[in-house]
Amino acid sequence: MSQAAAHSPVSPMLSRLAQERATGVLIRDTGTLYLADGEVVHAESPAAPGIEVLLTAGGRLSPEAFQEAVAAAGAECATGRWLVEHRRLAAGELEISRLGALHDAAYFVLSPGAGGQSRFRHGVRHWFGSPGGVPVAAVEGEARRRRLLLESLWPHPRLDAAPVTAARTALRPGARPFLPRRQAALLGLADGVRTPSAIAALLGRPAFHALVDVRRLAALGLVETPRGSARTPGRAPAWFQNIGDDPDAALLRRLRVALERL
Amino acid sequence: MYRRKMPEVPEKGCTERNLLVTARPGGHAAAWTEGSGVSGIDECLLRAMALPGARGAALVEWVSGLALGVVGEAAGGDHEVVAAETAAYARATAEHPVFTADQDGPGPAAQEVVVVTGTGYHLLRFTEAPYEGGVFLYLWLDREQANLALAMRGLRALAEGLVLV
Repeated sequence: MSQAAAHSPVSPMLSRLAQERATGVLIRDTGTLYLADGEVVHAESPAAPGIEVLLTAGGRLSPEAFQEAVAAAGAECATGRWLVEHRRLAAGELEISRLGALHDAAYFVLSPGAGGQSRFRHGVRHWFGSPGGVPVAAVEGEARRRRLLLESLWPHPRLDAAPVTAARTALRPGARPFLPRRQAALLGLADGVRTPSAIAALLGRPAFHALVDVRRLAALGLVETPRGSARTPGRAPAWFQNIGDDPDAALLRRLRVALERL
Repeated sequence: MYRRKMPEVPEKGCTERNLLVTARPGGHAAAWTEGSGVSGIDECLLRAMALPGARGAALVEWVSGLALGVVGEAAGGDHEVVAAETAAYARATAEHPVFTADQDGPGPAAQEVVVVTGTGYHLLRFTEAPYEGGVFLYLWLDREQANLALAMRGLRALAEGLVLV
């Protein structure tokens, strides 16, 4: 990635929506960004685990409690507030997860390789609800910083979407160097089929954390670095892009990815 | 057990004189004061700045280097750089083969890091986060004005308060 590309706004449409202080949802091929008064309040991407996965994976919140909150407050777009008010989660904990999930998904939504049309549906709010947004410039800046971080670790962007294959050295007992527990868990799930995003969803971690660990493991020679032609995620067909007019498009996209994971 | 623990009484020796909040233009800190009042992260960082000798504080995710909130001065001048660099240091500590040798539970084995320089103290406190590869509180203090024991006790209470239901 050239330096000029790194600093240009990722999406001119997003910058315009921020200026207009728009409220609604921006739908791209790579996922969705929810805006309120021109600030990003939520992001979703098929490549990143949803906030419900992050909240329930660590055992701090039971899936039942989460379902209860969605049933009670999802229609009012106040699921997060309900969890705090009913003492299921601390306010700080909720914010950490919400921001973590936001930047995690936004990284994929704003990936420069994303093609297709961007659509914006005015007035749409997310069911989770949010007390405050993050300025568009800050979200774009963080996505840029993350790309540069990955570049500095091991400059092979193809690793991000390719199935993770453990190198033969990693499989030989005794040949492996010391690995932190988080990386060892990831390597244990590398079966040559699962992508970093799929492994992150299984482990209940932000997908970007898996990208970081895969790059580190590849730099150590424990994960195969893909060679040959670039393998980018397939572009959705035209008929599929048009369903952006349907407010449930994000759900359908996630469903498609979930089915692919099976 | 952890969730039932009562919040600790705020430190008596706190002064307000260090309560300098600089919202970065376009930064995260600015975002939190809008909407429905002060948030959990903001409140935590403001209270950290009330500790004697506090110069700057941040809440950072240590795998990604994401600054979830920053307040006060940044050592070296740039909060984003401080967040990214302290995250690298925190990760090295959290995943160090020696420090993790007798690890027996989830989350980082290391709980706290104290770095003493000629002019200051740099404290890192890992928090029990909702997901693995979580966050730490970072506090930078002036060595002349700060009380290290008091600051560590205060930071510990604040880290617990962040995730206390």
